[in-house]
Amino acid sequence: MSQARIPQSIDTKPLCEPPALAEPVRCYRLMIVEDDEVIRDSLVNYLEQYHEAPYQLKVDACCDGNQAFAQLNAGLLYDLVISDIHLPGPDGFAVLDYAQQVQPQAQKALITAYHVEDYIRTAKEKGFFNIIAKAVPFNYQELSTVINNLLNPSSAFGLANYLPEGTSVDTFSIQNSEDIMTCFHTLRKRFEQVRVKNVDDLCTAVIEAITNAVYHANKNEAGEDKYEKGSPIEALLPTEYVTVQYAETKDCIGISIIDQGGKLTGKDILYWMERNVSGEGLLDSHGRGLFLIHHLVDRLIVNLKPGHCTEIIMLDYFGLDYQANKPVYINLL
Amino acid sequence: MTSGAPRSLATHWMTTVLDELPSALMMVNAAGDLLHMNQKAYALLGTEAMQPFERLEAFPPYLQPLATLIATTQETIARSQIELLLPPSPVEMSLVENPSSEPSVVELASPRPVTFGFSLTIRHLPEMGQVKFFIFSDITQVLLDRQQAERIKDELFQSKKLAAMGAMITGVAHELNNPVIGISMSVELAKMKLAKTHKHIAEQIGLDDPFCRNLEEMFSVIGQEMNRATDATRRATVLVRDLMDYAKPARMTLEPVDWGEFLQKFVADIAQQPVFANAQFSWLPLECPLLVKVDRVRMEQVFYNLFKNATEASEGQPHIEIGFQLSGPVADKRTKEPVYFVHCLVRDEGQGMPPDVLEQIFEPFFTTKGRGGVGLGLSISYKTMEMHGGALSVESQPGQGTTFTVTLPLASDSVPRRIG
Repeated sequence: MSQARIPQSIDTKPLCEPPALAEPVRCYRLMIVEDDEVIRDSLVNYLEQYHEAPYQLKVDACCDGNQAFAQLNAGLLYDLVISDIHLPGPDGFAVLDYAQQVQPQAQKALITAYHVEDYIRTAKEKGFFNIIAKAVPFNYQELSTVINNLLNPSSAFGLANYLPEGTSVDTFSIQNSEDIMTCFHTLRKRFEQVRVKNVDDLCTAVIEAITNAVYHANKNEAGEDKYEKGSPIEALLPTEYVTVQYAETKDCIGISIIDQGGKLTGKDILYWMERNVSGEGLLDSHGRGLFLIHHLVDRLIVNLKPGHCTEIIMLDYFGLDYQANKPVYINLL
Repeated sequence: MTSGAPRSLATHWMTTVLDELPSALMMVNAAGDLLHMNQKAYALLGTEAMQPFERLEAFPPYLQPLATLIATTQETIARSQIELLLPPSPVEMSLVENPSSEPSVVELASPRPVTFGFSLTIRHLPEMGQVKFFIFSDITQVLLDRQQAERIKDELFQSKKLAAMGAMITGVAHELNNPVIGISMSVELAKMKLAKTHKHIAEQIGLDDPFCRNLEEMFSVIGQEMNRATDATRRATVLVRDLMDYAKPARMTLEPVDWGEFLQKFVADIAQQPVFANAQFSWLPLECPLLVKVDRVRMEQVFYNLFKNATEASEGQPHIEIGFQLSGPVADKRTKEPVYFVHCLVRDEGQGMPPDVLEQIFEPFFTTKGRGGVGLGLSISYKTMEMHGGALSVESQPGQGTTFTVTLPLASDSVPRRIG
């Protein structure tokens, strides 16, 4: 379950120093607030017995908002609080608001059995960037990944972290506008070969993400797009290259698009998602890309390292599972 | 006695009194001579220029049904109705002959169907013998108003019933959602435990052991059942989501679209889909562009449902006919502005439906497809059209095919100059 890291070269240390002890296993404390008993027990059961990670996880469960308030004041420091939104008494937003006040060190995420989209506006206002969906069939693996990413945001970056160990990942580097189409056509061929249910949808999402990364991530000194959208670019600067990763497994395929601009913020992303959901911004192409991607792919994960990079990860489960009720995953480093 | 007889003062008085009556009156003797007609009768029959009628046979052709009724009746009739087709009234005639420079609506000069409510009383008067008193009034508008009131009552009942069912569905969907997720979480967790135990036993005891082989078999059976449970939770979730979507106050994105163009494109797209591979769509296009404000996705769902139902109702090659009608103006309930409507008719030549099916067709969970459908499609479509300020209605008879009418208000800046 958990592995201690053993320093590899003990013998090179001077003999006079005491031998280094094995690094203690890090222990994280997690609070789950969930009113449905079966769901709560399943979550706790899974996280205590099956959540594989190089750290220990101590899970406390609360069954309503008031119990959560009391537990947050019980003198324990939490690393992560995950709360259901609909709760008897104070709701999930109130719980996380309170956690924000009394335990600012804790990461926060919401979980819901209802339409995630209905909650995006409030989540944006309050600055909560992760809304987990109780999907059916329930995807425990995804829950583990989300928790890992919240506890250690750097593990959110890179497509490989979302796929079983040992999955090979192809990498393309986009260095001019011609590379965009070359990469796109290569991917399209792969989509057609594997069992992607709606190749056109996935292609739309991919081309949106790549063109956004090339044309919107790179700004001039005035803060405007450096290259006009769709215009030919002979050569991007090395600091403007966009990296595209692709991998396939028996259950899904994954695509990752990384720019080096790092211009997006968590609130931007929720703003565009919400604005487009409510129909206010449909005619506004700015930000429509993200909205489209969120709708066209089964899973969208946005990783942000402001000033350094933005990574858009898309997962497609061949149209079998996890289509309805899409979660929101935005990781900030 | 004829109308040519000299009039006494009493006759003059009586004529005046009869003219003041609110009802129309005709008096006819046994020979079929018209003894008297009051002013109201002339006004209703529209025959001022032709008075006086000497005999019933002299009535113009369009009044012959009335003449025959009076001539042949030998017993008193209380409270009955007769329908006639009268020529257009002079006012309407003049509109057609001299249309004003910019008429928004031109009423065509066609014969006017009218309904008269009447009583026919037979009396024997001294010196005059048998006299028939035909007393009548125009109840056309009353009947129309009554029909409309009935229709409004029906619609209100229908929409209240659907609202109540919607509220119930929301409750049920929300109550079902958590248990379904709970089951799914337990099943997936159990699968994980099973896999872990399986791996553990294989490693510790080895699969060559006969006991282990029995276990292996059991694991495989349990695994299969678990996968069936996963499939069932998947289906249950789709249903619960449909229900939650049905009851959810939907957010609509209304965009102005050219209605004819929008539908034509949608039909062209959809005809390519395997479900409609066999179907033949025929299209009676709109003559001019008409702007409507719709949520594209929802509107496509409505038509997809209608086309799919039409296809399923047809044996052999489905033939779906799409046509348009216009109506209006009707004063908007709130703004009192005139509103015009475009009706899109989707007609199939399928098996049609009996009245008891038609009555329930827009109710949630009503289906005639057995296990083939949940029965939400038309109900959601009905709601969608209501949300657009329009309507969805149906006409059908067994063996005669079915026509669905999708009604939308025209965008106010798109009122056609002429509807006729």
